[in-house]
Amino acid sequence: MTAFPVVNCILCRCHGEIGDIVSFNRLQRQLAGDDRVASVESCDALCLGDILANLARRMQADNGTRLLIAGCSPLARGEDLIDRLEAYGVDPARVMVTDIREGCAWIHAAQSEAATAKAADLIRMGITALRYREAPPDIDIAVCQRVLVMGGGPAGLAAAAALGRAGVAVTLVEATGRLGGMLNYLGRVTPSNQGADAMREPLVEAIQNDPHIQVHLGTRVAALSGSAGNFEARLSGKNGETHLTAGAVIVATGAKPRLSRGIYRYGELPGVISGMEMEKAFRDGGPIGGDTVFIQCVNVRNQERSYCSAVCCPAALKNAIRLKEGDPGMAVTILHRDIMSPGRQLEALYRRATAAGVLFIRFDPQEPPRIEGRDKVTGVTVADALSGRERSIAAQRVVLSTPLEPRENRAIPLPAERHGFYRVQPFLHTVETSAPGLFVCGAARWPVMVEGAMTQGRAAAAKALHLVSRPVCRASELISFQKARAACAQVLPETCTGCGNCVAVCPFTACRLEQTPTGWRAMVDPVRCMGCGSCAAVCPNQSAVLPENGFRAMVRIVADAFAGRQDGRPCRTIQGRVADQ
Amino acid sequence: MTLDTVRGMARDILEHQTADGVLGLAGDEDGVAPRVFDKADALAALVLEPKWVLAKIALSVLVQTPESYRLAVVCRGCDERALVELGKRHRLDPGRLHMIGVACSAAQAQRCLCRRPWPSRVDAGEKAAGADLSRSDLVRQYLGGERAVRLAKWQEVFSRCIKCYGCRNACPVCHCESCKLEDRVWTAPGEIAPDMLTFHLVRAMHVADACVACGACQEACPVGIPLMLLQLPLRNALQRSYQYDAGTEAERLSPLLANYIDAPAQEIALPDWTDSIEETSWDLIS
Amino acid sequence: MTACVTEKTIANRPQDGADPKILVFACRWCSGIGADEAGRQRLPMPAGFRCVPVECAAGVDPDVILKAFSAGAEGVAVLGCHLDGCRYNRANHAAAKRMALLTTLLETVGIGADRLLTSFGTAHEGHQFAALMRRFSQRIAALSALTCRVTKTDPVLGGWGDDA
Repeated sequence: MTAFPVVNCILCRCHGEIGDIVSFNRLQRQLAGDDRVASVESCDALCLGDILANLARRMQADNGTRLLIAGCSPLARGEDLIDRLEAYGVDPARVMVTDIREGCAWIHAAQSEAATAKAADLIRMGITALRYREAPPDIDIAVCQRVLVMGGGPAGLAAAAALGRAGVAVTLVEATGRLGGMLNYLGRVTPSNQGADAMREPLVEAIQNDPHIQVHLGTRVAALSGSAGNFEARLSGKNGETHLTAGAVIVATGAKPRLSRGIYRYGELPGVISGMEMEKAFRDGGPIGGDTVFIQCVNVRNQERSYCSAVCCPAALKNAIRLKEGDPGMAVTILHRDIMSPGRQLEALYRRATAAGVLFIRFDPQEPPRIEGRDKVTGVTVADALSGRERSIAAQRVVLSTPLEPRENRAIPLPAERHGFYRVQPFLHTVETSAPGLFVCGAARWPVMVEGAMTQGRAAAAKALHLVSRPVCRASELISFQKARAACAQVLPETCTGCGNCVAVCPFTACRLEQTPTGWRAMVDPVRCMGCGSCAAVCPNQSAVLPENGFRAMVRIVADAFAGRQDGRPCRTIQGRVADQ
Repeated sequence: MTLDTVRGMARDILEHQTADGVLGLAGDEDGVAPRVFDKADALAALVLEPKWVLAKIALSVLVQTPESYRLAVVCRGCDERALVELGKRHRLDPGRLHMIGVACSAAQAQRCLCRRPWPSRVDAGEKAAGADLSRSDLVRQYLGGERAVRLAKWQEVFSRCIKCYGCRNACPVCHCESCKLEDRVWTAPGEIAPDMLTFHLVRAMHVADACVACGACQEACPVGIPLMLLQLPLRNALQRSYQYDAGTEAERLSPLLANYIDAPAQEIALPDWTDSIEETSWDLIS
Repeated sequence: MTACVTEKTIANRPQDGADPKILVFACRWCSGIGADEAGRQRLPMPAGFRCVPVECAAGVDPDVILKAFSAGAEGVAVLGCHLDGCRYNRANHAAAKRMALLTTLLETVGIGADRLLTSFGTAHEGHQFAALMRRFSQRIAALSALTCRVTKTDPVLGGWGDDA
């Protein structure tokens, strides 16, 4: 084992915030007796004046020593101190902050004695952590400055157009023979009520006129591998298979509207049509007559598919209003479980529908409406959940709202949430997935209306742009939610048994098994690894390690935690110097 | 009769070259020992008793023979489960193995405290009922009673440990070449008896989701520590929460390696999970 | 001869009123920041706990926890992000499962399931963190007499629990 680095300690009194509670004399005596520590100093406020500048000068002169700062929490000023030292040219891996203010002095203000003992323990733990800290250099990734956009629907088109405008090379892959996706099937889009064709034309034109964008129609992504900066895709299309390298991938594969035969006599009784057929009727522009009943939540929000498909209520509102506008005398009824029209615009749509005379009847999913009619629709019988009465509504047409169902594409190495849509990172992340460089937008991540999908597409484009705009990017920048990550995990091939625990547990699919002449060995993809340490925790024989939080460090930190309080046996460092107590 | 069936099957296997060798127990006047039979004539020496866990021996045979070598193993339930667990961990290629499944007798099951004394395919013997653990004094002694009593009991037995590593060496699912129990970071060299927490419990935790209840560890223990009983509540917990029984499903990885979405736990609802100290009553036995 | 450190820890706990020794593994995304939040609000807590910052609760090896008990900790808490709020996808799910199993093991040998706390909290839950530390500390203090009686205590409920 290499020699341990020399550690210098600096204790900050924080103008008495710490110093009035924790006995600095005792801390200093303890540290002076600790042979791992070269020097101990204390100061009144490390963050003020030129102390840091002096420290940085000293650290640059004696290259290799490490510095433990015991003071406020990293979240208060601690990180800032490290940043400032870095600005002076000190490697931040050489500095560590131990929190003895928020984590000790402030919460144990009434127990000065115990707080001092705790501060001593915390500092001892910090010294251990600093001594054992290994900081392997960051990994530079040569980024392929091309973005692969999968799917030529609204989300994909918006993403490709935005990237093209930014001057990034884009490959747009569309499985069908025509760009536009859902825009090819809709009459008008909710809630802006623009014609779908009117939206599609300028978008497609922009794509086709952009020299940066290559479009492959009738092409699918058959396989996708690699990691941020270097994804390898195998495209299979009319002209055979081609290979493509891309720095980022935007998944905009959408969802499919799906209605099975037999639900509400769909496909069996003329006059029962799906929402998509209704859209087609509007697109064809022919006259549409006859009283109409819309039924919502068709085969969705049930046991089989427990999610709300989100687009069907706005679509039904839009089409109901259109029917009413075409023929105010037509009776239009929407049978719903509850109308999902969140937001200002959709709420306005709902109000417009009620004002136009659309009748809303709520039903109970236990008692679904029944379609009446022998050889064609004559009406619908529904138990009104609010009045409790059974009502018969005469109708010549029943429109079943079509829910969106996730598409399955085994080529995309992304985890899906429980319904099958691609999962994005929790909290404030809309398009980032657990695989850096792989973004998902549009209905592939959740049912969404056209304009929302386009906004998501542009968001994904912005994220992809950030990644591919530079030829070299650092692995530590990839993780979308933090400034720097703990260095990626490593697997020691000498001891690895290839049991596969790390592969199974890795939440980022960064570990994989490889066959070597001596058997299976686990490997970590340094780009995909985010440094959580799951692999190290399940490795049976410590072959997988997280360099910054290695097991050696952890075991000793744990042993240090109460070393000062071993009952009846004060620790060696204090023993030597506390004769006066 | 069971023995004749097994010998007959072994003969078939060797004669039809389904496998290149049959691993079983050979008994003669000197006693019983595991042996790889590669000649049909020698099969007269094949015996089934006493119970001898052959999984680890099968592993070492496979490691030492070329890829093309296929081995038939006379398997009890625990042997088969151990081989499945080793297969899951890529220690052996299940395609090279041919199992001759032998069901244990009820008496043997009770001796082993085994609740599943049969392999997935029984070729010889009758499926007997598993052991009823609540009837066992040993189980009640170590796993019943109050915490303080249990602690005293376990500390007493662990203080007998001479750190021979027999438990680890005999365990068919312990497979690492380098072992944490030999690393001075974890276990102080020369400390006998070793610390219960950093030796025995670490070992128990390591094999928790792979233990097939073969009892090889406690059979190997020269000072009679009932190590299988240490594993029993862990196996029960996995069974209760995830219906997971190590070694019974070759395709299913340990639920401990997956999240609650992919491998849900019973009686735990997302997104909130209560603290582990909420449970107040513990039933370690069933 | 007995080399079991556990016995020393549990049986010889000093009856001087000192707070029990608790080791807290707090993930640096949620619970670690929650602990910090508690500090910023200067919420009084028993002084017996020591926080070890870790990247993620999933990175805590059960063996390290056993080592902590062996090194003299009377209680260990593993605190992570809320279950569906883990910064590392769903890494903390597997951690929760491992800890549940380790708890079973501790109960089996009689050390007591109560000595290992697995809980999930988030960055703004400073009050909950303080309450959890107070209650866990009380619980461990009550457990010190474990060798002669089993103490029944209130359960700590989901998340970091409410202040009782």
